Amino acid sequence: MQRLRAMIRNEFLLEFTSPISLFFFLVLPLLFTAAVGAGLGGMMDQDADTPQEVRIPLYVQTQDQGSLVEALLAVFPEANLQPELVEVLPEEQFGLEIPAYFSAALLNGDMVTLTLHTLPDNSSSFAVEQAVRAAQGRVGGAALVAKMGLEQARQAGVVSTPEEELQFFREVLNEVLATAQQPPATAQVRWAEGATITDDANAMATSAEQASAGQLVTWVQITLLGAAEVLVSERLGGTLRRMLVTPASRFVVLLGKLLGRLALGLLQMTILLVGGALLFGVNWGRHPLAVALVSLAFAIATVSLGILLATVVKTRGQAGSIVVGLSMGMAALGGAWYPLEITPPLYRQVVQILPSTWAMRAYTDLLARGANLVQVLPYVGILLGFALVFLTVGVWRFQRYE
Amino acid sequence: MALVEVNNLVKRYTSAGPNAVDAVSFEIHAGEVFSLLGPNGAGKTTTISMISTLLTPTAGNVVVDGHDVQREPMAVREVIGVAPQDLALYHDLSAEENLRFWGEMRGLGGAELKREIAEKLALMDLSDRAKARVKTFSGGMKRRLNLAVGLLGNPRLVMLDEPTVAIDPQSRRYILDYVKRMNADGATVLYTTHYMEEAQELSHRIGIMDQGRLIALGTLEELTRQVGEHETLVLKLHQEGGGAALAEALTGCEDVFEASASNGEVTLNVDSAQAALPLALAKAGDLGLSIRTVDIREPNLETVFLHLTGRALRD
Ligand SMILES: Nc1ncnc2c1ncn2[C@@H]1O[C@H](COP(=O)(O)OP(=O)(O)O)[C@@H](O)[C@H]1O
Ligand SMILES: [Mg+2]
Repeated sequence: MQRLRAMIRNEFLLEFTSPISLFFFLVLPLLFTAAVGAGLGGMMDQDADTPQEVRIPLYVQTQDQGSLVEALLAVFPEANLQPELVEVLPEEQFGLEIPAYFSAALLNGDMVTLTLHTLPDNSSSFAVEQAVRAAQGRVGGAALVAKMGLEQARQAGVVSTPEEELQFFREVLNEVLATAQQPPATAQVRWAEGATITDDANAMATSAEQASAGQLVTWVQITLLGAAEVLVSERLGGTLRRMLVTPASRFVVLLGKLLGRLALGLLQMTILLVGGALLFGVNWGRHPLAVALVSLAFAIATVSLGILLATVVKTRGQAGSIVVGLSMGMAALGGAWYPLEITPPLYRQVVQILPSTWAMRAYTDLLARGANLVQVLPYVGILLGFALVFLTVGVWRFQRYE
Repeated sequence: MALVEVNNLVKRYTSAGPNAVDAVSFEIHAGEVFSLLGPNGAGKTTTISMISTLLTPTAGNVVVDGHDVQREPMAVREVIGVAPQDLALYHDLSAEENLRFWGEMRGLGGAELKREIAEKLALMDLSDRAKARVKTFSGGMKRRLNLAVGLLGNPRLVMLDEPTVAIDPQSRRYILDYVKRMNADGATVLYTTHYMEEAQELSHRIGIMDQGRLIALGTLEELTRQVGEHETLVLKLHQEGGGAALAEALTGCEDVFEASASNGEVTLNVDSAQAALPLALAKAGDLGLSIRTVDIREPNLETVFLHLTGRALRD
């Protein structure tokens, strides 16, 4: 116990001997969160107050002639989409398929599947998807409100014939849509879970959420994979061998190195989570225990990979470049730099081999999709599974090291 | 009583490679300074590494204080302190931080640890640099700190692997004196070196290693007696490069048992220096070489090594 404590303290001492490390540990990640958040903001968060000059054409093919399709189309221009009804969707254009049961289902509060054809290489894909999502949310919400109003009206005897009912419904619907000029907040959109988009059934994070989670994953990976760099330099510097002739077992030595790095990573995570909440208004506090568990599992998986790397890499220089390269690469691929929702399905399948992907999914679910502790437990399990595999191989190789 | 028993110890780093340590056996008695003397690559560090539980022997075994190094490594580590040949320190931390960390790793804590740190800093004459980072230290200071770390907790068996390489004479003197003092205070010391003067000055017994094998073992007197009642004649030449030719010319001559050359010096192991000198002068003259100084010495470990291997210790 005393030895583990000594090793953890030593890890902190070594990490912070130079002010530069503090810069990488703390200052850069926060700066990047701010910068990336602002950058993504231009792309992600559609702002109704500043309509863009250019409207993106969206071809719509509908089997439903109901009132809600009309309302949906009417909402699109506000989101800079120029809807155009067509019989057959053209290739290589943004296209939306609306099924016949769209209006009926929305009014029943049932699930509706809209199919959005996006263009993977087009920078507007993301904006279009957001806009469609927001639009369907607004219409779905308004429809529910209108339907409730209609119930009231029916009970009060204001309407009697089907024609009167339809008339009433349309008026209320338009009223609601008109008064709610601003798209409702994300959480409320999901309350009207009337329609979904097949492409991906989930809501997306805001730019600040995406930046906070993404930069956390990126920078913490550098710290945790840094276990490789630290272990390699202890091996080359002779201090590892010296530890192995003290009355501490190999297991304790490895555990001490692992815990030292893990503690550093967790400290950094805590700072970035609190920073994300206080500086950038990201709501990390909805399910603190869930955030903590996901973070812990991700940290353990990543530090374990660092240990495994240490047993493979030969030189300090190699370790350094691999740590940075792998951190950046895994962060980017895993959805830390841009949302996975805008990537093709095959890509999303492939990147499931990265722990960063699962951490980002869990964080996004917690931040943007209202997931709770129980719902992210599978992600925690997967991350711990990664840790188990990395550690088993790493420990096995370390035990054989001479 | 033997504190360390080394039995037929073998280490082969690669299955096809040579034996870095080849069937080495010796004992270290409690309370003595035992030196392993040998040139670079002789296998000294490899031997120490197996005794200190760091390397697994390919064959043979080592028992330290009654504990087999492979079966009870932890018990062995409780007994030993090691100052490795290559500095093993945190260069970005201070001397004090280093001592504190390594002390805790040895299991020291609280007031005892504080006392140990202060004592070791004072012993190694580093007290006034306690808070300075190791990377600002001179080579000699680093060596002293490296040694101090190995002595934390006053282990019963201290292993010092070439603790004086590449340092200033003052630090070297300091370390040698300290080894003697520590031994007088009861510590058993395993000391490796390729300087025969150090082995000669410090050791109760000496093992001479070469190419993985222990080629001689005993007290200084026992070892030098092996060379017989010989004398050593050292000739320094004016011509730096001429040593090898002269050594060759003298090899096999009557009364010359061994001849070797290094650094413009020719070392002869002879029956009688008085008889051999005219011969050597004549041969040098034949070769067109001139002799600058002549030195006649009692047999020493250098002669012993030469006698046993036909090579000088420091080639
Ligand atoms: N890690 C290693 N891998 C392979 N060969 C080694 C290793 N360490 C030492 N050797 C070889 O083993 C032999 C003995 O080396 P060493 O024990 O360091 O000698 P010494 O300490 O006497 O200079 C040398 O030939 C050296 O090259
Ligand atoms: Mg050596």
